[in-house]
Amino acid sequence: MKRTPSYYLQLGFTLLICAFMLVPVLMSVTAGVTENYFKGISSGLTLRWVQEVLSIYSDTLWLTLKLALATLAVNLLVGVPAAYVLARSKSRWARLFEEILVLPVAIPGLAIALALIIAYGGVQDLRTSWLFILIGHVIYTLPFMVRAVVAVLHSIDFRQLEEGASSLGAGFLRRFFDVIVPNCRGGIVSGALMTLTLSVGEFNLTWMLHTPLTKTLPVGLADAYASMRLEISSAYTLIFLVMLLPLLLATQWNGHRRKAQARPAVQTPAPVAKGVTS
Amino acid sequence: MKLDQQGVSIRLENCSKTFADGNRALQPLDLEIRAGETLVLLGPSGCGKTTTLRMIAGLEFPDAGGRILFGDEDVTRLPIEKRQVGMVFQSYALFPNMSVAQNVAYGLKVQKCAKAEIRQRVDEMLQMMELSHLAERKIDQLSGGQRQRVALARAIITNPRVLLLDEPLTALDAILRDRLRADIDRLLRSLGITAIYVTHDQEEAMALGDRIVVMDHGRVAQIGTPKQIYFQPQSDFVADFIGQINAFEGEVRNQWMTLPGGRLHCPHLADGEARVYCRPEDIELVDMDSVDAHLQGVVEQTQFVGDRNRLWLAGIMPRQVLVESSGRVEFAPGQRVGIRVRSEKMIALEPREPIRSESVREVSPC
Repeated sequence: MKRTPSYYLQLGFTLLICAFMLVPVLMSVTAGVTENYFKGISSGLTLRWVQEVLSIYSDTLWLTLKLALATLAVNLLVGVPAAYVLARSKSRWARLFEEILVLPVAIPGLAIALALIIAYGGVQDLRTSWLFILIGHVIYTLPFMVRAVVAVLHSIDFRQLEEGASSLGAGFLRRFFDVIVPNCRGGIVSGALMTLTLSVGEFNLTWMLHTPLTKTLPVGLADAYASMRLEISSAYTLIFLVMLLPLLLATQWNGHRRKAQARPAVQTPAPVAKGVTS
Repeated sequence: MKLDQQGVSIRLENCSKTFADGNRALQPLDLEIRAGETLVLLGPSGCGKTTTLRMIAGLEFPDAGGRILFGDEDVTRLPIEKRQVGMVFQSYALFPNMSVAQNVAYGLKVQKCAKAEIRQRVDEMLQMMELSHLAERKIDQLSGGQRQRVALARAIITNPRVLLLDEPLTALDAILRDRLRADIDRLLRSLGITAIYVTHDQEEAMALGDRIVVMDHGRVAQIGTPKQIYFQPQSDFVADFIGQINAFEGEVRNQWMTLPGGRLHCPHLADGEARVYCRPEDIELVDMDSVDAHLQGVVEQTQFVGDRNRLWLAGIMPRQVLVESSGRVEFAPGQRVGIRVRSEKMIALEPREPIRSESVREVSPC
């Protein structure tokens, strides 16, 4: 294929855009491992700032992880059964409720946090506990879990699968764990990854709900930018990226895997049409 | 392989079904299914056949006052998982998360059979159903016919008290359907299990059923052996629905019915308005100059289907009359022919309702 001038023009433009988006990230990352950012890389590379962050802010890292895992646990325990009930119900109210579930995504996190503080802020033990942030994170992320699972349930004939299992003698719990959950695995995994990603990176809600003793990573990061030297907050960003990247990669991988799985299913009618049996 | 447990007899007493939206799917129904017999529920969609099957399965429950008995046991309020039934669904409902062997083993696993016993019985079953080579396959790697056999294997391995089949062949193409129909027939005979088979395909019903229940609008139209249903339909609906049939309608006087195309000898009918039915294969074609050519018509359309010719005749009745003749005799459109209908081959019914317009379509090819 002969490359025309317009090809090079487009390539150049694309590279320019990429650079525009990537350069700040790269600069931030290098800033985090540079001895003195204002002197530049010539001042030498170091992990000193990273270590410093780990010593000052390690509690925010642990709290962030704890919150993400706790949010995930709640979402799995509540979200998967809720999705099942919603998908099973044929009533108009269930469809309406499915729509309402999106609202927390549309409402600014600040507003949710404000509502939570007005409603429960007076309960001192709750207000100062990390559980208060957990409530906010669950409200914010649960819809993603529910919708991911509902979407899968609507795409498989789960009622008939369940009838099949019950005709073989399986009671409700047996059917749920043997047939429903395994066949929703794709949706559950994508909902779980979404939950973790959102919870780890959540700032708006968390910033309103946190106390000096319950700071998460993004809140700490804002704090670091405001009060620490640039190298430290950059190193902090680096750690943040290291936590988020695997989650984002896993989300991508899960999406590809599900697409690949969906493909052979589409082709199945072909052998039927040829009448292949033995 | 005979099942350890022979099938039970099943009795439905006064079972009706009204759905939540107020729609009455089934009028009060009494039905007795003998132990070991294959009963086919046959009818157009919406006739209540699937609802009846689902009530026997325990997936639906009859309205108050209805009772369902398996042998002497009242199972009316038992959910499906407690009824020990085997069920084959129209879309098979195989578990995509399990292999073929795991699907077949599932019922035994739920019953908490010992691992060694499960393995042995699954192996036997897979061998019987010629599925051994597919044991480790996933469901989405199987063809339709293979899925069908897995669904059957899964349903019968638990020695169910009754085997319920909900249009199991509908999802398959015609050639495969014929073959699997023969397979299912053999299987049901060899198992000696009580089986209830739902279908809208009358050929399937005749081939498989010891008895057929023809249903229409939530009511039983007729119960009988395939031959009774075919040769002695008790209502216009059954006569119309099963196979192809011609209707002759007119005024009978002194044993002769007057029709646009001539006269029809009906010695068994009293004077007055009457209607008789006759199967296409029971109408004889006779020479125009024969004394038996009481009815005469014009060939309007012919269709050669190998073993026979199908002729659509005009001029005998307002609607075309379908006749079948040997495939070796030539007929051309426009040709005049005489026909004779022997009275012993006629099916007489009281004219209760006007002939449904659909029956016209059943007889005509287009």
